[in-house]
Amino acid sequence: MATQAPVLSVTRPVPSRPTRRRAGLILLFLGPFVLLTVVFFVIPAVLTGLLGLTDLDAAFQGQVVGLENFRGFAADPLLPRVLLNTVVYVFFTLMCFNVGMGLLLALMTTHISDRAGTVFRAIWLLPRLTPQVVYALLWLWFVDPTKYGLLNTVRGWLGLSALDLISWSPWLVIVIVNGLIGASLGMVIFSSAIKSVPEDYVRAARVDGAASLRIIRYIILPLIRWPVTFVLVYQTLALLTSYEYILLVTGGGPFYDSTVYALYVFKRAIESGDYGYGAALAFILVVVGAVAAQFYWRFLNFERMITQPRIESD
Amino acid sequence: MRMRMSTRGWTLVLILVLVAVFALSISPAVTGQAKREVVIRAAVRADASGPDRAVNLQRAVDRLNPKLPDVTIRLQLEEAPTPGWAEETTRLMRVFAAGEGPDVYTIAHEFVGMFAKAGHALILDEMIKKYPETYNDFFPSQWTSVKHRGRIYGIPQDTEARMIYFRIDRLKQFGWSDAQIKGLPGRVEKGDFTLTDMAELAQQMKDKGLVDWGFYHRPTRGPDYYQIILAYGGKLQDEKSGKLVLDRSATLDFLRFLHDNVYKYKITPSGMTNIPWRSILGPFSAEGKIQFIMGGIWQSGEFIRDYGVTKDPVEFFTNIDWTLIPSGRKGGKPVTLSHPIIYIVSARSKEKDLAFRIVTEASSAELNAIHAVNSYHIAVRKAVTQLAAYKNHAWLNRATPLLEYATFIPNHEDFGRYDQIIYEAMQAVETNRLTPDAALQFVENQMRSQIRDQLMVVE
Repeated sequence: MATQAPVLSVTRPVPSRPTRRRAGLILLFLGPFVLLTVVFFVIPAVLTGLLGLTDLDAAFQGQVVGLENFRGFAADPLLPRVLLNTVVYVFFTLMCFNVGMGLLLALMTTHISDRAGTVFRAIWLLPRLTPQVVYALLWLWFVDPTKYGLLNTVRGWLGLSALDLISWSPWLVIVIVNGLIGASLGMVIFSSAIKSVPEDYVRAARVDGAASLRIIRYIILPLIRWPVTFVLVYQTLALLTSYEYILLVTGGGPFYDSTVYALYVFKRAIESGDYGYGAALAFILVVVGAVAAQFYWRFLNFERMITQPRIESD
Repeated sequence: MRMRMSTRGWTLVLILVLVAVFALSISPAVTGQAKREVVIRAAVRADASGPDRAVNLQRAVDRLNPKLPDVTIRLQLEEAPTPGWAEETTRLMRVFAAGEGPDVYTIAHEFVGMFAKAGHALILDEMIKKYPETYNDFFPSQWTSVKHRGRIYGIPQDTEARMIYFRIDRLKQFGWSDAQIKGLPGRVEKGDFTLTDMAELAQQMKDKGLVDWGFYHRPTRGPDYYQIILAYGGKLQDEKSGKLVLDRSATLDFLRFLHDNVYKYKITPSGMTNIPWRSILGPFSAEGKIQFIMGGIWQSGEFIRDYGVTKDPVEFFTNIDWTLIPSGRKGGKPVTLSHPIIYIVSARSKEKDLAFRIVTEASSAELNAIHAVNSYHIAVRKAVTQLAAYKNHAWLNRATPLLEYATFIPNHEDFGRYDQIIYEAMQAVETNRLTPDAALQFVENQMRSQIRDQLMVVE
């Protein structure tokens, strides 16, 4: 027995049946996702990077210009404003709505009767279920700056003059428009997480005389830390690349006041026909997204989050 | 014997049948069944203000098919709901880039250069000579709109005049006499009533509470704005080189005019570009809440169709009338701008001749008149103006003389960029994001970086 062991380690035989099976299983489970990622992320990202090296125009004609588009960022007077817009938009939509409002809704709807909570959550899901263009059209009707819009009709009843909300505060409009949609995802995930909090923890706290706010602060919030982190990360990346509601409601204006980075890419590439410059801008967004994902993975310890359920055991 | 006769008989019948089948197969005109079917793909932007633009292509095919001896055309019509002609242009460019371009399509004329440069538009100079009865009848000025670097790339499908609509009833309430009101278009023609006069009048009327607002313009990108630049004596294109021109002084006057309307005269809301069309056209035409709007002849049709304004011309022109766009300076020339929508035959079409025949048939006086009359667009050819339906159309009759002052925006491949930059600047001054001087600087910087050597900057 003892003499056979070195021989086995040196000859490296053909993988045994269980090893092949394991490889097959890995391929079966991971293959489709790897393929999807390659087809819908890696290849488009590489193509975008390559297009960014050209001056492709609206007629899809152009030449390779090397890094000229990337050097052009420094000379683009609109870019600093657009970047600032993006930071403000992502931060406020995330904090006020996607996480803040989502959490508030989840806490409220789990602290009332189950049936009422479900109805309330269903109502909050309506904007997400509405087709995007219809949702945007409803908003346009709401903020119509003339006296014919819904907001100004109500203001008229109150004896107030018509308000041009989009010119007055485009930020308020786009944060609310996006936030009302975004809050529902957080609401659903947080509600489910709160319901997973072991009932005996809460009861024990109540026996000890803890009020609801203290239970939320010291029991629920620490236990749903992981779902909150997930929503924070996921929605940050989603907001960085989202522009459709802004395009439909404010068009990025007035002037560039509500133009975020992703919308600026759209404007330069699709509206102005500068596909080369637009692709270079988009490639930067891809890099930023990838770096941010890596950052979250490492520093927020995502690996730990997905290895085992955290709510019960943490 | 009977058997032998029968066999001969059957043989004879068989031969006759074979001969008949052969004869029928070589004479398709007899049955039409053996005609070759050709699919022609057409793309026409879905436009509520001119649905016959698309339908006329199908009507043309229906009229053409019986005349074709060996071919039956089947039209595949795509009507994309793009919000405007600029967006339709970028959509078509992407479609062509994907190798899916249509055989025939419609665009706004200023984009002809872009399609010509990209090789998506067929040069038609020789083809139009084959149909002199149709094309010799077009108004000569219309050919300007379809030329790029001296070659004809399109067929004008309709045209229009743009004007300043005004409310007669409100002017009467303001104290103007009938003679003063009737004389207003004449004063504009002589350069005696300028853009500044219009703004001051609108301010006084608003201050008196006769109207909610004094002056509205379109809320979207579009050619209207260039009328103001031209009214201040500006130029948009260099005739010699064909390059786009940024006329700094006229553009600054244009930006100041818009800025002053909002902040000095207070006759235009700062959020003008946020107002939906329905809150512009309805309040002007049906309610008389706005004194002046810069619009186009086709909008008279919309006032009637969509906002319940009377279709009795006498009654209509009791409350609403129009003038040319006044000059920016005393004694200057007024302006209108024609913006033909044109048919293009794709240079990549496999059936160029058939595609062009469809366009020619759709350009027949009868079919073109259907579109012109229904959509309140002005005729592109003389024969249309002789048809009763057109002759008796009060609005078209009144608008046609404006064409004497017609101008066009440039057919340049970079005009889309030029247009986007001008629109952003005008929105910036109206919403007070930029002063007129800063907006002019923005325009120049953007144009220099995006249009580069195809731009001339003049003072």
